[in-house]
Amino acid sequence: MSSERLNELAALHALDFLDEAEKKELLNSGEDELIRDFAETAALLAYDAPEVPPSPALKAQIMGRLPKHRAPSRIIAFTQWMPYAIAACLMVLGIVQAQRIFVLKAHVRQMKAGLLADDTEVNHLRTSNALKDLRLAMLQEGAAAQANAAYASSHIMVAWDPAQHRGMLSMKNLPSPPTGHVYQLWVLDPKAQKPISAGLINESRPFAVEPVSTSQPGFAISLEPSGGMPAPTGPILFAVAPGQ
Amino acid sequence: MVITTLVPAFPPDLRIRTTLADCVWNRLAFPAYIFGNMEKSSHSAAGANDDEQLIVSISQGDRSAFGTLYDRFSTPLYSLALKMLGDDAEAQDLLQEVFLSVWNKASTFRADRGSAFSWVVTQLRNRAIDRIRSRRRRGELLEANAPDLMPVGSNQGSSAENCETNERAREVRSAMEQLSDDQRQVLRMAFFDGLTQAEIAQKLEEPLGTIKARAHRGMARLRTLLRSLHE
Repeated sequence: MSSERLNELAALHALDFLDEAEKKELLNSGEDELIRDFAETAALLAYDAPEVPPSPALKAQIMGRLPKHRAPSRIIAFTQWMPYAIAACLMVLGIVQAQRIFVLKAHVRQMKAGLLADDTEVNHLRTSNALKDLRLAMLQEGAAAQANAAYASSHIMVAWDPAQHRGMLSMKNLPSPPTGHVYQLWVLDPKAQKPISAGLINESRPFAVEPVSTSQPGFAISLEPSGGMPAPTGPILFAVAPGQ
Repeated sequence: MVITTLVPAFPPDLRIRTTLADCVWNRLAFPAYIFGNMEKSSHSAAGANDDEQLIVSISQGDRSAFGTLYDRFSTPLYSLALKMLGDDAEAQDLLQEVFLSVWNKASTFRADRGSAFSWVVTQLRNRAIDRIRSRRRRGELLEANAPDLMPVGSNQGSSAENCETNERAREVRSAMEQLSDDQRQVLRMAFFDGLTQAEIAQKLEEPLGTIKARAHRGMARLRTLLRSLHE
């Protein structure tokens, strides 16, 4: 840009005569001193106005309107800091979010690995026919349990492996037995003279018994005195008949 | 010509005797605000720096500094406001608004971007132009809807004849007198009436390029004249 052009733009800029494009052209020229020089010249045009002093009362009026307690520099300083404070907050938030994303990603990776392991195990069980003869039996509420609301939400299930004569008892919402009593699990073999005790129960657990005559025995849970009994004596709370 | 000038910026015991030429370099002389960074300006720069120091003190809540700055700037600023707005009450209101803004925004002042005087004049002029344009819009509405209610005249410059002209004003006016009538007219219409170049072109029924040329040459000439006083 020629110096003549620069001078013209700076002069017109001082009078607010430039459009946006011209203003940008001038401000990008780096001629700050020239711009300032013309701006100062324009400001001095104020002295071309006929000189009239303001009313003497005006000073007192303005002074009276100044806030009594003020720390302008502190206020302004805060204003000046504000963009940096916002930037800092955004940066901290960004770091926290990035950290959360990292943790979530790690969690997802861990879950994927777990699912993969489960899939592998299921595939292994499928291919090894391990589940082929597994018996699953849901125990039904007996009359004694039906009469007691505490057992309304109880669910008892048994998974039985006839080849190994062992099973897994799964209990849900079974209330604690009354004082002095225990729950006892029984395996029902149609050819046996009496139910075979599978032990006392107070939580989900595996159990095993002597070989039975059927691959689909029945199961029952009764309420017995503490220590258990060799044969059921208390009420049958849950049961499923053999073959069902 | 030798004159005696009392310089109120200094304590009474430091009052100095000076010539008119010296006065040019004094705080009271306009070059202090324009060409404070020129070669011979060690004296005048002190005046400009003085104003800047006042602004710094004001930013720290110094009421006394505010009072001093008011004493220095209020007359030219009020004169400008009155010239632009043509109404005593509105000029006083504007002056009050600008000085309160100075108090509140003193910390935003950047000495490297211009003098304190230029900073305050710019604030006042921008606000005055807003008022003029707002008034013009109201006037246009009023004229369109109730022409009989339009004001008939104002008290613009009513007390101007009674005012004493200080050195700075004298120098600026002298420089303005050396411009051509056309240049002076355009500068005044732009500066005091807040008109755009297009509005001036329309009012004077001249091409836009002519107005631009007059404004440019007028400003360049004025700048040269003011600088030449100190070289």
